[in-house]
Amino acid sequence: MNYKEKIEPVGHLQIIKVNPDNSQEILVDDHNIITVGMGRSLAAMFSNEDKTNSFDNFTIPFFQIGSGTTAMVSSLTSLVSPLSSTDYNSTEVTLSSTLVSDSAVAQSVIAIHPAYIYLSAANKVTYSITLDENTANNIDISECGLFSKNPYLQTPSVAYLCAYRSFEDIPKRNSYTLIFNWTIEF
Amino acid sequence: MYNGDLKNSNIIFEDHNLIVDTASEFIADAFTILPAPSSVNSNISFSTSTMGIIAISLGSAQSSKSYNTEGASGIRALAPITPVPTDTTLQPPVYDLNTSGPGRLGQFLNYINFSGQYSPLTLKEIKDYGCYIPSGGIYATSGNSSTHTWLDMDSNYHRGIAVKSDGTLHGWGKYQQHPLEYILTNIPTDSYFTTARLGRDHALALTQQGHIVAWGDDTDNKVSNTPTGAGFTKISTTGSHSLALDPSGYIHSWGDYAFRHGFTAAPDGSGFIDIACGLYHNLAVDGSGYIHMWGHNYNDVFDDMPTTSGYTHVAVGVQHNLALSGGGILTSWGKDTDGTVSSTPAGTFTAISARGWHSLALSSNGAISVWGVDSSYGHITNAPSITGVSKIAAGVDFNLTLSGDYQISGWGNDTYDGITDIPASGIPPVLYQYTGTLNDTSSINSEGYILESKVARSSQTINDASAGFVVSGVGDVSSTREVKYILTLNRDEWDFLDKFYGGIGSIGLWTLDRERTISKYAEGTSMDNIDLYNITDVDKNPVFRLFSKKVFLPGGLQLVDNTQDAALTIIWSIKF
Repeated sequence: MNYKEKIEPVGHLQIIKVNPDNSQEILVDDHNIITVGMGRSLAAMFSNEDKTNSFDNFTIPFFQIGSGTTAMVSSLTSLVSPLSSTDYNSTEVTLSSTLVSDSAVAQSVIAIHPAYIYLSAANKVTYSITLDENTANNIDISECGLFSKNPYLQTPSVAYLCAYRSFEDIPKRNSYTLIFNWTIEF
Repeated sequence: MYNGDLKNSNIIFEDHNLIVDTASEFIADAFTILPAPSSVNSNISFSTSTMGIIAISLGSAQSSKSYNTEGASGIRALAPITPVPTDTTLQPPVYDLNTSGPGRLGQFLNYINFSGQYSPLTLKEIKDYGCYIPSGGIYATSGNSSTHTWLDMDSNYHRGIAVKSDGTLHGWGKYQQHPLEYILTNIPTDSYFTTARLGRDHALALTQQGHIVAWGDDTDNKVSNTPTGAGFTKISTTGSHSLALDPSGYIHSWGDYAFRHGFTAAPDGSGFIDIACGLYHNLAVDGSGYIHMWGHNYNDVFDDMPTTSGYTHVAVGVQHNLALSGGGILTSWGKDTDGTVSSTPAGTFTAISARGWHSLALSSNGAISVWGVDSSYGHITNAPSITGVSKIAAGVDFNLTLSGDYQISGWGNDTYDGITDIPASGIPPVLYQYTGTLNDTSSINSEGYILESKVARSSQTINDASAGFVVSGVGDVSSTREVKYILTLNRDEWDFLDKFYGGIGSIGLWTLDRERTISKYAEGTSMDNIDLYNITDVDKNPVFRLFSKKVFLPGGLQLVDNTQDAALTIIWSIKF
């Protein structure tokens, strides 16, 4: 058994462009920023008297993309310019409050299907999100984030940004698919 | 958010801890978890928090064991014998399966007392549970090193020998007919003995692993021909030859050939359960309870030997014999000098001893019966009228008793100091009983882990931390990202850990292994709702995973404050 001084989650994001002929192009392959929301979510998970029916409030089921960019710092609690529901054009989009300047603001997020959240190693969770040919087209995507669902069991629920990554604009078009493979290592 | 008053407290330790690598696995698992792990029964739910720390454990400062992920640690990890505590007046209960020498089991059982009664444990129980903390309290005897008892004793020809609870041999008295007192001057100084027997001018002792050690006069090779090997279960000697039972129940004899084999041959075969070596003849009991005799049939001492079964123990004098049945009934035969046979008492007994021309028997209440040929020293008539005797040993004209496992007494012929020089009494163990709130069934599970207070987290105060740990920061950790786990030990509990574990050497925080816990429940359609803090079936206790630990070195956290109200509060903060 090995020991460490701290619990320091790290993350890695890979964005893959899949062309109609199934050829693939890796657009982003880099680390991300773990934000303050991760610590808040973990602390909430360890301090709440949780019962079975609220388990999923502490997990990370939400994904969000945006068109703004900002310096990646751990104090971030929101994306700069998250897409609207219309922008996504997806049935997977749901509405959840997120913290924007410490205030709960309803925003559109993509609910990641549980089948695409899996243990990729004993201490790693991988989230795999696909923006198909019909989704988020004509948007220059430049940021994305992962959110825990509602760690403080608030009403209405408030999602917390746990991981963030900005990058050079990726123009999304209907001629290809984007796959976001995001792995968080605890 | 707590009302507890810590104003008069002192911080005696403050440092970071270590996070176990598998803690990351726990979190990763939590981030992918469904209401129940997919591989097991999804109809089972928990009615207790399973997402965070669910148990705290305390480890011994004397333990060399390290925590592992599967739980064989914490307070259950007992201290090895080395290194001994700096303060040698305080000896923790010692048992370590990996490094234990012979006798650790006995030593362990001397210290741990369950529900006020000595209750021997199986090796597996000790391996599995170590220092098991029964519901209702911790019982343990004093760990003071000056405490000692006597494991065994024997007397013969004005001398006595006894085995102390630390495994050492102690001999006393003199042998007036021998110019060199081989037995007492050459007594082994090792500390691994359990049994000792005195011959006329040689002696035997049995080690904790069943090796036979002999010393003294070697005429007839009664020392040099001592059988070798481990596992011997019984030894017996009186004069110039000796007997022993090996692990298969074969009888081994050595020394003077005539009396051990020459007149009539020793019985062959395995499965014998008891032996008695006389001056000129011998007795044994086989596995079916039949008595066998061999050696010199002097004065028809073999006559009237019982031919029925059911006997368990035998003893032998010079010309008379004594047997004890499984039902505790005595039978004597041989030469009936002054009632050695005919005065055999009725009743039920638990132990017998014979030498010379008299016999002793011990009844179930610890009273002794003595009969046979008396001497001017009154080794029959002056027998004490006492109870509470645990062992008896008949000498030729003096006798010894062991009372309460710690006091050896004697009566009869003291010409050669066989009574005067009896070693000082042992110090009986003092029974400690700790029934502090920590030992409430609600706060410690059957495997020794300290669980969370059953008070709802939203209502917990620091005072509830004495009935299991409490969790701070409920609903209020968004800004601090810091969760605190708080446990309070009262003075008795801390004192117990000091005395018997050499202080608190380590502490651990444990999460739940949900999948392995649920797997203990019925698969399929079971609808169990598991409340981790109210499981009565020990087979379904939760399986823990170590999350973080802290080891205190050297010496651990020890109680240094002699005030009666001293207590220890452990506040363990995990920041995310």
